[in-house]
Amino acid sequence: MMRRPARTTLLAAGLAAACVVPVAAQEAGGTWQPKLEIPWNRYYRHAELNAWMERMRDTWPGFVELREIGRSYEGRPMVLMALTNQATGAADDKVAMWVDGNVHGNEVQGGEAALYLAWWLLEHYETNERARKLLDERAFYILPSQNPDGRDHWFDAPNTASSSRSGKRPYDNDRDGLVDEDGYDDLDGDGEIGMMRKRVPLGEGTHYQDPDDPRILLPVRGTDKQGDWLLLGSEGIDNDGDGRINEDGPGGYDMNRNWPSDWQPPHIQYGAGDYPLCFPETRAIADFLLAHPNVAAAQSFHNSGGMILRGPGQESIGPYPAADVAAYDELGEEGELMLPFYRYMILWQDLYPVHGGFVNWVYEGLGVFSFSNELWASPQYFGGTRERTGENWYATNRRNQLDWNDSVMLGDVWIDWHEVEHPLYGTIEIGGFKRQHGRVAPSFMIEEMLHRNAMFCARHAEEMPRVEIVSATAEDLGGGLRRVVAVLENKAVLPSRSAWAARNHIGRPDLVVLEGDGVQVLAGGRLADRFRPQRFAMADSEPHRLLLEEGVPGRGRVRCQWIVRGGGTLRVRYQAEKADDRSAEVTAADQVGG
Amino acid sequence: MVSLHRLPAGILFAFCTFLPLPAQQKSTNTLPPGGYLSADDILAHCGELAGKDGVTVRELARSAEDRPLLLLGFGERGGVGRQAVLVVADPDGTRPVASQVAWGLAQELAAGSSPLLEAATVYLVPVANPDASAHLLADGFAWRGAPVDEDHDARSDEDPPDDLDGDGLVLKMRIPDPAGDWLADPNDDRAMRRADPAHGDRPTSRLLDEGLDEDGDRAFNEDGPGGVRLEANWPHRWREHEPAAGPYPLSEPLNRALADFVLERPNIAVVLVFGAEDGLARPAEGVAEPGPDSTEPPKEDADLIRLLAERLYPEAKDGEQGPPRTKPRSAPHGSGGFADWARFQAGRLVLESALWSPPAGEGDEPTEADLLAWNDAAYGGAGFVSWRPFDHPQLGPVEIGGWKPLVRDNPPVERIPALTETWAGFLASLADDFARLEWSGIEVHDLGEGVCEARATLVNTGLLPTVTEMGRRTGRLPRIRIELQLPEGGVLLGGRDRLFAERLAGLGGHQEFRWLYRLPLGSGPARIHAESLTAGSVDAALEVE
Repeated sequence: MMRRPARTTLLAAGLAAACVVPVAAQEAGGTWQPKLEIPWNRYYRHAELNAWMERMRDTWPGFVELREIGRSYEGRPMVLMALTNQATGAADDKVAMWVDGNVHGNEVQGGEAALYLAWWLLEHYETNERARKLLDERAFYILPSQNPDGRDHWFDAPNTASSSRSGKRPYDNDRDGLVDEDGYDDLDGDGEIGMMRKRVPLGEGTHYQDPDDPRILLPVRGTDKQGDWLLLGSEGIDNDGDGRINEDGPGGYDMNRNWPSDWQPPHIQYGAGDYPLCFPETRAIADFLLAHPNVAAAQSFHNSGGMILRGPGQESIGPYPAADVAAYDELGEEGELMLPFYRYMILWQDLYPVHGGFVNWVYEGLGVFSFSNELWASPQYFGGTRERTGENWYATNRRNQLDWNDSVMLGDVWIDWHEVEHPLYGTIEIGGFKRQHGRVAPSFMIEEMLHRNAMFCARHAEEMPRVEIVSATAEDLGGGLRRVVAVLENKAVLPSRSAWAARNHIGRPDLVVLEGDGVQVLAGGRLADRFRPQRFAMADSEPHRLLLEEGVPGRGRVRCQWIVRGGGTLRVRYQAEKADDRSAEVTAADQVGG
Repeated sequence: MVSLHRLPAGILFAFCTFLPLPAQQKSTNTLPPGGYLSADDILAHCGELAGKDGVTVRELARSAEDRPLLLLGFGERGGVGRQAVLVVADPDGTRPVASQVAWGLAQELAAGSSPLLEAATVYLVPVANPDASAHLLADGFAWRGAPVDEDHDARSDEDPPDDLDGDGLVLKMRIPDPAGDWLADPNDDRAMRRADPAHGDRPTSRLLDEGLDEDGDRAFNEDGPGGVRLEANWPHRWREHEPAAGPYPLSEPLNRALADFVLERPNIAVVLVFGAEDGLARPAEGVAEPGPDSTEPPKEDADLIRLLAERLYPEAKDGEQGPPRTKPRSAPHGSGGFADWARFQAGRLVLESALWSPPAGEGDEPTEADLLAWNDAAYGGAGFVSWRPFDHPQLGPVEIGGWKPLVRDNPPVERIPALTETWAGFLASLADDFARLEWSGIEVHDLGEGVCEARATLVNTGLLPTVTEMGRRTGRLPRIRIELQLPEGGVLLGGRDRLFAERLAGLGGHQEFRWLYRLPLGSGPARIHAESLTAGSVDAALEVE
C-alpha cells in the first residue's frame, strides 16, 4: 500500500484513541437497542438495499461511503459501500475485503448477507473489540447485488425459484432472430410460475400420483405403476409458435461465466456472453477491482445447497499451489464449523466445472483468496433430523418439503393443483412450490443465515495479511561494515502475496527498502539460513530495494539481510499492496544472528 | 521517438558516460522504404471522404493518443441478406504497407465503380492501430498502449530501447561474447545466425536491441514504453498474465469497439485482414475438430480459403508460373489477434494477408541471405546498417547495426499501386461469390380434395456458405428461416409452418423440406419463403404439377 505514506502514523493514532474508549456491555441479556433497526426477516428490492445503505451512512457518520461504480443494463445504480472508520484512514488506503451477492438475480439472499455484515460490524463497533479493529484497521467493499435487474425482476415478475438468474439484456436464446419472445406465462394470474400437469388416463402418461400424497407425481420408469399423468414443465405457452415453450425468456445468459480467467465462448460455456466483461455490471465490477489492489480477500454469495466453494473451476487449471491451498483449507474448514450443513468444496471437483466464474477470476486473475458461498441448505428445514427417509430420494424429498409446507408454514409456500385451460394442452392443472421456497431461507430463518455467513466474511477479513517488522538490527562487522537483518512477520493466515500471484507475477511484489544517509548498501537479499549469514540470496541490482515476489507467508516470517558501509542511521520500510506499510529504525544488535 | 527515459532517482549506477540527445522527430517518409503516407495523413484523407456519395465515415473509438479509429462504409444500404466484407488494415501497427493499400482501396471504392458494391457493402478500417502505426513510421518503434511493468520490478517503462549513436534508429548491438548464441555468416559479415553446435558453430557474439540497462537490473530494454499490444488483447487464445495481453480481453477501447461493430452485423460474411500474419500464401489444411485454442479453422472453411487464395496465387491452379508464393515473415505471438477472434468466435470467413514479401531463394520464406541480397538490389543496401563500432557505457566496445525497422516487411513505395490493384481485383472477384438461396426440386402432389403433399429443396448456389462451419459451431449466427405460407383457410396437416436451417455450404449445399396441407376450394397455391441475414430471401409458389 504505497499511496499515502502518512497512513502508518494515522493508523497508530487511531489505535491509540480506540484503546481509551470504554467497552460497554450494551447487549446485556439480549436487551440491546440497535441504532438502526433493520428487519432481517424479509428480502429487499434493489432500491431498498441501497436505501438501507444510505441509512447506515447517515446513522454512522464517518464510516460509510457510497460510490456508484456503474449502472446495470436497465440503468439501476450499482452502489458500492466502502466501509471503514474514516478517522483512521480512507478505505482505499487500507487492506480491504470485497463482499458481494446476487450475481444470479434469483439468488437474492446474498444481498442481505452482504448488507448484514456492514450493519453488524457498525452496530458492534463500540462494544466488540474485534469489530472495532476490523473497522479501524481494515476496509470492506460491499456490493449487495451484482445483478440488480435480475434481482428486481425475480421479485416483481412471476418467476420460479430458479428463474431470473440472468441479467436483463435481451438475448436470442433460440436463435430465431427474436429476443426474449418466449418466456414464462402466468396463466392463472396468481403471480407465481407453477408446474403444469395433465391427466391422461389409461396409462398414457409418464407419471403416477404418489399414493401417500397425491400432490406428488412420481415417474413410472423403472416401476410397474400405470402412468396417468404428464408433467408439462413450467407454466407457459408457445409464444412464438416454434413448437417449444418458455425457451427464450428475459435475458438468457449467466454473468458468473463472463469473467476473464479461463473464459470460453458461449458454444463451450453456456451463458458466457459475447466476450469477457461484455455486460455493464461485470465490467464495472472488474474495473473497480483492477483499480483496487488493496483488496486482499473476497467473498461472493449465491444460493443454494450449503457450500463454501473455491476454485479451480476446471481440472485443467491444475491444483492451486500448496501454500495457498493450506490457507484456503484453514478458512474453509472453520467455515464448515460456523455454517452447519455447509460443506467446503472445490468447484470443478465437488460441484460442477465452470469457465469464467467470478471467484475463479478473483483468485486466478487477481491473486486474491476468494470464496463463493451457496446460502441455504435443505437439511436446515428440519435441522437434519426427524426427516422421512426412503429408497426413493425424490419421493422422500418432496414429502419432506410438503411436510414443511403443511406443518411449519401452514400451507403458505405451496400452490395446490388447480385446473387451467391451456391453448395447446387443453385442460391442465397448475401447482407447485412458490418461488420463495427451496432456494432462499424462509423468513424466520433469514437472520441466522445472514449472521453465520457474514461472520464467515469477518473471520476471513481478520485473517488478511498482518505484517510487522518484528526486529531490525545491525551487527558491526568491523572495517566500517555492518550486517543489517530485518525480520518481517505475518501473523495472519493469508500470505501478503498468494503463491498464485507470485507464480504469475500478478500485481506488485512486496518491497523492503533500507534507507540511510551516508550509507552505501553493498549487497542485500533474503536470508534463508540464519546460522549461515553469508549464504543469502543476493539481489542482482538495487540491493537497498528488495522485491519479495512471494511476499510474507501466512503465519510466517521473512528475514532480509544487507551488508552496508558507513555509519549513519538506518530505517527499514516495508511496502505491500495487500498489507499495511511498516517502518522501523535499525538498532544495534546485541547478539549475532538477529 | 524512443526517448531516453529519465533515470529513476536514488539509484547508484555503475556508469556515468556521455548519453546522446534524443534525435528529433522525423518526417514520415525518410525511413526506407520511404514515401509512405503517415497514419495521420491517411486518417485525415479518409475523414475527407465523409459526405461523398455512397460513403459513410464512422469514428468507432479514440486511441490513447486521441487518434480516431475510423471505419469507412461503401455501398452501405439496408435489405435483408445484403452481405458485407470488412477490411481491417494493420491491427498490430507493424505493417504500414497494409494501410497504404487500404487507403488505395478506399479511393477506388469511393469512386463507386467496383462491381463488388452492387453485391455487397464494404467496410474498411484503414488504420486499425493508429497510435502504433503513427509511431512506427515516425521513429521505427511501434508504441503500445498504457505503461506496463513488463519486468515486474514495481516500476513501469523504465528501461526502453535507446538510440545510442544518435542516428535516429534503434537497431541491434553486436557484443563480442564467447558465451553468446550468435556468429556472423562467414560469407557476409552483416548476416548473423544462431550458433548450432551440431554444425560445429562456435558462437562469437551476443545480440541485443540497441540500448542501456537504465534500471541496473542487468537486463537491457526489458521494460519499454507502454505494453498492452492490441493484437494480444483479443479473447481467442488470450494469454492471461502476459503484460502485453492487457488486464482482460478487449480491455482496449479500440478493440472493443471493433468487436462490437462486427458482432452487431452478422451480415459481415468475409473479413479481410492486412497485417503481420499471412494465411493465403500457404493456406492451412484445416482441422476436423477445432478446439478452444485452435489455430486452424475447420476443414470446410480452410478448403474455401484455399480456393480463394488461388485467385491471388494462381500458379497452383493452372500450372503456370504466377507471382512468387513466398510466405511473408510473420510475427507470430502466442495469443490470437483480431483475425483469430473474427474466425473462431465471431465465426466469419477470415482471409489474412501480409501483402508482400521480399523474394525467397529456395525456401518458402526468405532467409537472411535472401533478404540481404534483395536489399542490395532494391535499395543499394540502404535498408541495412552495417555493423560499426560503438563504445557502450555499460558493455564496453560493441557494434551497432542491423535492419532498419520497416524494410523487410514493406515494399518500395512504387509497388503500392500494383498491390492495390491486385486486391481491388480480388475484392471485385468476390461479387459473384456470396451465398445465394434458391428453391429447387419443387414437387407438389395433389392428393385430392385440396390435400397436397409438397417437397422443396433449398440450395445455396453461391460459393460462400450461408455461415462458415466455424460460425455454425459457435451457435451465435442467425439461421435460415423457412416458412410455409398457406392461403386463408388452408390447414397444415403434416410438417412445420416455420423452421430453421442451420447452414448451407456453398456450391450446392442444400436441405429438403416436406409438408402436407389442405388448400381451401378455389384458392391459389401455398407459398414458401426462406430468409437469411447472410444470404437474402427467396420465395416460391408450390404449384401443383
